Amino acid sequence: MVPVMDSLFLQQVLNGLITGSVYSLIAIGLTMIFGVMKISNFAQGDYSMVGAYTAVFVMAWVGGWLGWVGSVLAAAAVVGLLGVVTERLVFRPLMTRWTDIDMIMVSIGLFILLENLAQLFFGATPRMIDDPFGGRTINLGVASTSLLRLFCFVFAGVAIACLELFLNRSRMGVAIRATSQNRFAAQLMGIDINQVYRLTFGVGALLAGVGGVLYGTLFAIYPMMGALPTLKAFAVTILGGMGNIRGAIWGGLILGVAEALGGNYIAMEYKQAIGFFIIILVLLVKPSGLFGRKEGA
Amino acid sequence: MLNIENLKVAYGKAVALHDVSMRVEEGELVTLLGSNGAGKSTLLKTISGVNRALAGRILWKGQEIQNQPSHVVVNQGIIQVPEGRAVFPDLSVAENLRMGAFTRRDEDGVASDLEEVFELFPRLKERRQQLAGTLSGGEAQMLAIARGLLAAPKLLMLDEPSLGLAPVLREAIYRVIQQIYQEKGITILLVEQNARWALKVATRAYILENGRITMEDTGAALAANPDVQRAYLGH
Repeated sequence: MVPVMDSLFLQQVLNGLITGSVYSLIAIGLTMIFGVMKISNFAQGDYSMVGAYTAVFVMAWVGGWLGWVGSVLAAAAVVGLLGVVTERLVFRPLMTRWTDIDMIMVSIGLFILLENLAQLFFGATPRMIDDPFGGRTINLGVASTSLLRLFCFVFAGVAIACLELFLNRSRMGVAIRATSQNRFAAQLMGIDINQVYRLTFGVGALLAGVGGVLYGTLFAIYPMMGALPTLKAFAVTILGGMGNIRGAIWGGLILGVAEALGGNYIAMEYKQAIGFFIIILVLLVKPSGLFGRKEGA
Repeated sequence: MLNIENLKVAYGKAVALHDVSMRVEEGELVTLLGSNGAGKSTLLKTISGVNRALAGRILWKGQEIQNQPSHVVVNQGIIQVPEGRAVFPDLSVAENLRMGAFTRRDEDGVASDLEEVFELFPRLKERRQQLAGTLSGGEAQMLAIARGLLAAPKLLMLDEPSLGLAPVLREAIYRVIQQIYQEKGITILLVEQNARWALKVATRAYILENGRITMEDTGAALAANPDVQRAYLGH
């Protein structure tokens, strides 16, 4: 019998939840943009890359835990603005005239552009964010983790809670949800659709930017780092149902834990493949995702 | 109040409306009859600013509003109620109603209108925390109308409000529409399949065929017209 409750297992679950919460954060932005605008944004992970580099600069300037918290806020502002600008200059002019496939190509173009700009300005050398807690670890009884990783988890949770609050309580937040459910009816309510697009892209990019700081805290920062989070975010949104925010939250945690357990119990080499295995499985068994409605419902 | 002059609308090369002219005066209930595909919904969408007009004008109190963004049109008090399936399924009934009042800033007015709407539709009050996607067809239609009323409409455009409803529910919807018209005094443009009822309540009516207005008269006169009887009343 598998010793299910042994501490190695719980340790891997904890590690998975921490990484998974960052996946959730990046995937929520992707799924929001898809839900409202029907754009599959392949540049989502590159928004995270920009967020991570923002953190590199803020940390070099301020440092310590204050610098780390500051870089989360700075990344939110910088990448949120980047999202608004790309929506206005790249996506919106093409939306009414181009097909969904064209928009995917455009977003791939954007991701190549952002990666090469980063390469040009920041160089290819990988960078790390210094641990503001000096590598201190914390023992949670059944498992232990570094204080920094715990902070990543808490910040991801706080960001998601803020988003939920915004989407459920604020007038524009409800308008975003309404638009993703029925664009025509939303127009009849007097909702300014372009304002909803701008806000959705801004918030979606902002979340990816914050996720990028957390991702860059856990892993290395380099110009091409965005590709993996993009693919993971797609795995998560397909798992949770395209356009479904709650699905993206759970999907991220599931993918994180599945990777951690798979890496430990199957083989480390297969860790990155697990996300894609999940995509194939979900598409075969329940194409609308775990939390998805049937098409057209 | 609303004047449409020589309106032309097309989807790509397919012309949906040729040279349509009609008007709705304040305090009227105007019915627009026509078979499927005649262009009724296209006309409403163009008035609401969702479709573009290729030619012609739409005047609201003398001002041109054709090809204005939809939120500008809604701000003028021109409110379209789409058919009942166009509620927001994953928003609660209360959130749907809140979206109806999206353009309004007078919180007190919205609160008192909400009370009135709940009086008109007690079922919605019972179900206000429920997701709109779980409502029955009749309830969803009532929600769509209630949502439109919360926008404080000056002109309410109803797109086939009884579509797909059982006879009992249809009667209930008719009663509500007459109540809205008579008690609240809201001007109404009604697109309806049930010609018998729609002509009875209308002050005036238009018949739209293949993107053209072919007849215009009082509701009673059209109901007595042998051509109309044959085509729309099943005589």
